[in-house]
Amino acid sequence: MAKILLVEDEPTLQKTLSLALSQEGFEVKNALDGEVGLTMASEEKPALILLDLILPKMDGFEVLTELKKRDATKEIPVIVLTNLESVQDIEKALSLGATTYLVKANYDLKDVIAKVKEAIAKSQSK
Amino acid sequence: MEVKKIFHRLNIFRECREYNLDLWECPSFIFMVMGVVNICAMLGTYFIATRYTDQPEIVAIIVIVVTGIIFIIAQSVTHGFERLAQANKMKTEFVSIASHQLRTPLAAIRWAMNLLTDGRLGPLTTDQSSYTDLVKESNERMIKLVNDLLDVSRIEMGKMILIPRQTNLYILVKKTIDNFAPFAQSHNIVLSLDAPETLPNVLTDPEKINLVIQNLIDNAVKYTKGRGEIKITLSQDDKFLKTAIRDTGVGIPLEQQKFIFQKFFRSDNILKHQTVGTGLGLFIAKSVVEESRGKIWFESQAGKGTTFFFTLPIYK
Repeated sequence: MAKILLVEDEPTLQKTLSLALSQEGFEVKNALDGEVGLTMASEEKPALILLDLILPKMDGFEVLTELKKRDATKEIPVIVLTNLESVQDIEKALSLGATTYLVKANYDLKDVIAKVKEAIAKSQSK
Repeated sequence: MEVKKIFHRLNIFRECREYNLDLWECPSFIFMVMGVVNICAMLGTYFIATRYTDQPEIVAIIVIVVTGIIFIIAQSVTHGFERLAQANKMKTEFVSIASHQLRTPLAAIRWAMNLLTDGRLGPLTTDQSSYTDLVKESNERMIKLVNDLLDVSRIEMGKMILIPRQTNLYILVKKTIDNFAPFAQSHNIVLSLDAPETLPNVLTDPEKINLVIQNLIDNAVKYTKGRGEIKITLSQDDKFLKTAIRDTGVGIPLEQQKFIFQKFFRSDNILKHQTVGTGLGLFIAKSVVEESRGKIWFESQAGKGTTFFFTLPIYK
């Protein structure tokens, strides 16, 4: 059972997505802010991280930068989930090493899950 | 510091860029033009006044009075323009911030509804799912509206950036037609696609152009009353690929055709029988097509139907 770390501060989104993911058979770990997310990423060694960009304490861009700096976490695929959508934000997230970028309001849960499965399969086949 | 401020103010192009305005709508440019007008008026008054009187004191008084009046007019005109430009910029920024803020609760509704409609919280009765479908549909409409508003505010701030790449337009159009087939069928409308077997790829942003295609087909279906046919044709036209979407719908009244690409515009005859819509789709479509270096236009006759055309450059 693959472990997923969900870093999301909005309770409804965190609750719905983690329920759907656990029903798909994933073990979901939740972090409600950037700092906790970063610590949990090192401790839990998840197969994938779903990362919001606007977060308390440490924003998603900073978390992503740190994740990619550390040996223990740099190989973990990161899907950025957000409602920002400017080209600058997309490019910044991708250049920092995010696998892909999803605008939350534009995706159904099943599409998010499909992207998660795809990213995990891709990182395992490497 | 003051000198720096004056120089900053003198750089009129910077201000025009900031407001994303044409030169003739730009406050600092208008101020400069008014300055030139003022100097011309001073010289003109001087020459005219010297012709009619020999007394230099009277000439000086006339010149000062006329210059003063023109200066006051220039000040108030420029001030008015400046305030308008500021208000417009604030409105655009407000729309952008508000839309971003709206997206989070809209996403929360979407995902919570997904849990219900996907049966993740147990099966729903037919009655229950007919209502959850309604909520889902309304939620999707609001998301689309927010996305459209964000696109419009980006266009107005000059920040709508396309990422053009090699795109197979046939596949995009085919997919959209397939998606729309059930919706069209429920309106008694047949969708057909006519394209040669081999077509070159185009250079555009596939995601954005997909929204344009969806929008044009959606309009064609919505504004065809009763039985009808919508024909989509792809053809090569020199260095461009031309797409035509022809419907047998209500058409656009001649006197309103010039407003059709303006934002929030909706023609009278469609308001009579179709209230859903914002009047943003074609404004966005025009911007996307033109940013891709293509053209968009239409031919329409009220009561007979409309054909929308757009071209996109062929990928070399």
